[in-house]
Amino acid sequence: MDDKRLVEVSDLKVHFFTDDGVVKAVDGVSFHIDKGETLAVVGESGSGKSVTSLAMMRLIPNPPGKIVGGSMLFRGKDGKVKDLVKEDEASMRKIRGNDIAMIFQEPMTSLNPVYTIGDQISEAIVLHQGKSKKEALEQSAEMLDLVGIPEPKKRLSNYPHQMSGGMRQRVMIAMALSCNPSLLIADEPTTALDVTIQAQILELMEKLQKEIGMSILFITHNLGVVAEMADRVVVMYAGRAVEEADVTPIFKSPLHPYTMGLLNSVPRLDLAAEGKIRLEAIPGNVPNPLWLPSGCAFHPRCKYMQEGRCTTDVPVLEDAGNGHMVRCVRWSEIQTGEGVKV
Amino acid sequence: MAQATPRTLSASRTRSQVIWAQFRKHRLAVWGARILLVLYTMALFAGFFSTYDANYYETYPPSNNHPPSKIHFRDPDTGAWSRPFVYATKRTLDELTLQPRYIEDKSQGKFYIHFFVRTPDQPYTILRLFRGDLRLLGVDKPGRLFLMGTDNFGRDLWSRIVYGSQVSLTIGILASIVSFILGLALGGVAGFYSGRPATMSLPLTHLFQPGVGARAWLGAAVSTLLWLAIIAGIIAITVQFLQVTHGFSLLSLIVVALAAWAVWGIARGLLWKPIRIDPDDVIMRSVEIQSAIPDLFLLITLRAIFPPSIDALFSFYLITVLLGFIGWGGLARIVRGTVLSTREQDYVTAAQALGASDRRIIAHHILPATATYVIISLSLAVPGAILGESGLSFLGLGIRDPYVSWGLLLQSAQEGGFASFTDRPWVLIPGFFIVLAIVAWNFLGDGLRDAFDPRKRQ
Repeated sequence: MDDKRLVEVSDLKVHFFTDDGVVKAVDGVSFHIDKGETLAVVGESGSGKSVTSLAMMRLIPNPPGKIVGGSMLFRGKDGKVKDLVKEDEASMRKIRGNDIAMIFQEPMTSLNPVYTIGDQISEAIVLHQGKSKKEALEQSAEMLDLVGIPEPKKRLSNYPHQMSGGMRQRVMIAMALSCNPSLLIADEPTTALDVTIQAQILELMEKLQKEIGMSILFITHNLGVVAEMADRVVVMYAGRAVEEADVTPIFKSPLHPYTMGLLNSVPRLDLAAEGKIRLEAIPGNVPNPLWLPSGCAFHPRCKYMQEGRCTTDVPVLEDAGNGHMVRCVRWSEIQTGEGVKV
Repeated sequence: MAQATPRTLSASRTRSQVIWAQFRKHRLAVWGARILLVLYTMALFAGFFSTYDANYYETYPPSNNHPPSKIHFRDPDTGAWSRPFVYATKRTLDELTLQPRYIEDKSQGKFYIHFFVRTPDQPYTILRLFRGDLRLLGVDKPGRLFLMGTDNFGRDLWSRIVYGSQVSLTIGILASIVSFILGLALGGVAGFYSGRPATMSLPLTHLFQPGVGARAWLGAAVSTLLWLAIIAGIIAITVQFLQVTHGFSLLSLIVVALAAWAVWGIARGLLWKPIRIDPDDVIMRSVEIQSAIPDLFLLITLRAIFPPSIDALFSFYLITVLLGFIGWGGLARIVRGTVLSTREQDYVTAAQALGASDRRIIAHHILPATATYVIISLSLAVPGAILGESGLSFLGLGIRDPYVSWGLLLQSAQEGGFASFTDRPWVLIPGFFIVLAIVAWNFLGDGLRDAFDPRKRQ
């Protein structure tokens, strides 16, 4: 693995074996994260982005879920490269929280209501750094200070219900960062917060990323957040990556019809000022993962769908130049406008 | 411009303050708690509150089936108020029933009731730590003070009730603790691992796959031997059963079919299909089977496994464990249900993501969530255990002499047949104490439930 690489996921497959059949929640996803980089994974609900993040922590509930293939190479703090798919449970426990930390969508429910903030932040410190409870509490106060909570010493003895949503998400970030992880997985960390708080949390994360020098895997469906945070973007649909590129090309010149649809469905103030009030939406819903459409999984919702090609040919991830990857049979035709009827 | 007032933290009432305030609103529960406080104080300082030792009686003059002593507050001659006193009694026999009758014998003078009397001939200990002979009430000899009469040996019933409360009241709590440990451990495991069956044995075919090392072979050999031993055990029990029942019946057919089914299942597991067992299934099905059997019947059956004439102290421990064993099922169900819902909480995943182990997650994040339910169901389980002990002792399977319990006292009450209830009704007083303790515990449990339940708050 390249020296600047932190994570290299190749051909990851996570399947859920349910009574109704096999759900291929993640079906051959590959991406990499460099040191200090922020990779955003974007997609609708059910596209497999959260499952990907849980798979990296090896927290897929088993049964019914199972990682059935692929590899996830990860460079630990000690410099050794490990394949997270093959590590046993005991060494995974050492990696979780210490090398890879995670923050969740719901700050309201991700903190245990029966313990104080101090107890919960120091849990990871005691677990991974072998410090005494007292030292851990001191470090917890420093962490609270770092994430911008006033009166950190007093706050240590607070219970989660005494804090607001934004404060709790700060506490979650403090917990996650308490052991200086090299990778932070943020699973929609701002979805449950209101807009002003969202901005504060994102700024905080960017600031801490610079200070600590960690990489972030940012899972979201909010394209505004992506533009703010990400260095590179992976767009997922129905368990597969459909487009991958640096953040500017994704917004300036998207190649996949699904990415275009996502971008068009974001409300834009500049267009609204010109009188284009109506938003474009992608018709239809995410397909039932048990019965994925033939060919390209996106074809029933795609306005560039061509009978006979999109319905039968399974597209592969192609390089469109400059590392811009796209999974579409017709991407070059759509780019040039040749024979495309809308 | 007005200055912003600094916000004070944790100005609101804490959770325990809310619960306490709510509990105090439940007046019956408060009374239950007070009664229990009195009863348990009485049990702790039994020597002090009783008037005699539990097994003390005098052979001459005999005082068997003595009614409660009549306590006088007025001088019979002058009618003036006086310190409470009793007269000595003279024993005669009823000509018709040959039962003893006691008449006040005023010739020996008044025996004033003294507070804080010393009885050097009947010393006692508190918790086996402190020795003493000081008793709250007493009269000078040869006067006798029977606050609640005597039994058919002449032992003072009030003293026996006080000493009996030590057994009857503690056995409820001890049995609940046994239930608590069993229920919490088994219910916790069942809930946490529900839906994640453990592989108990891998089939032989599995061993011939590539990449299977010597350790796997060794493990397979050990587990195969264990399973073969289980098969042998099943066959032995079946053969034994057929021999005992002599010959062919529908029941023997069912037993043979069940045994064959189990043996087939294991054999198939050893040969080509892994045996996976969900601990939730095993534990919860056992709870269901156990709860299908009536409690008292199960209690008697389990007690019957042990010889009837065992050491009195051992039988106390045995009864405690049996009562605890009867009660763990309900608690395990409650714990399992709470654990099932708690383990899906985000904070459990968050703890896993921090690298906490299963054991730590169960102990630190899941079981504390069950605490309120456990406290409530424990306080409601104690009266059941008290009643169970009384029932067993009443049937002669529980506490035995020289130990005293309320159930045992009731058993000796019915020894004289129905006549005893009309001739000497005071022997029924222990029953009143049983009712009092159970009602008090029930009210306390009820109050705790309401106090912990946020939906019932006003």
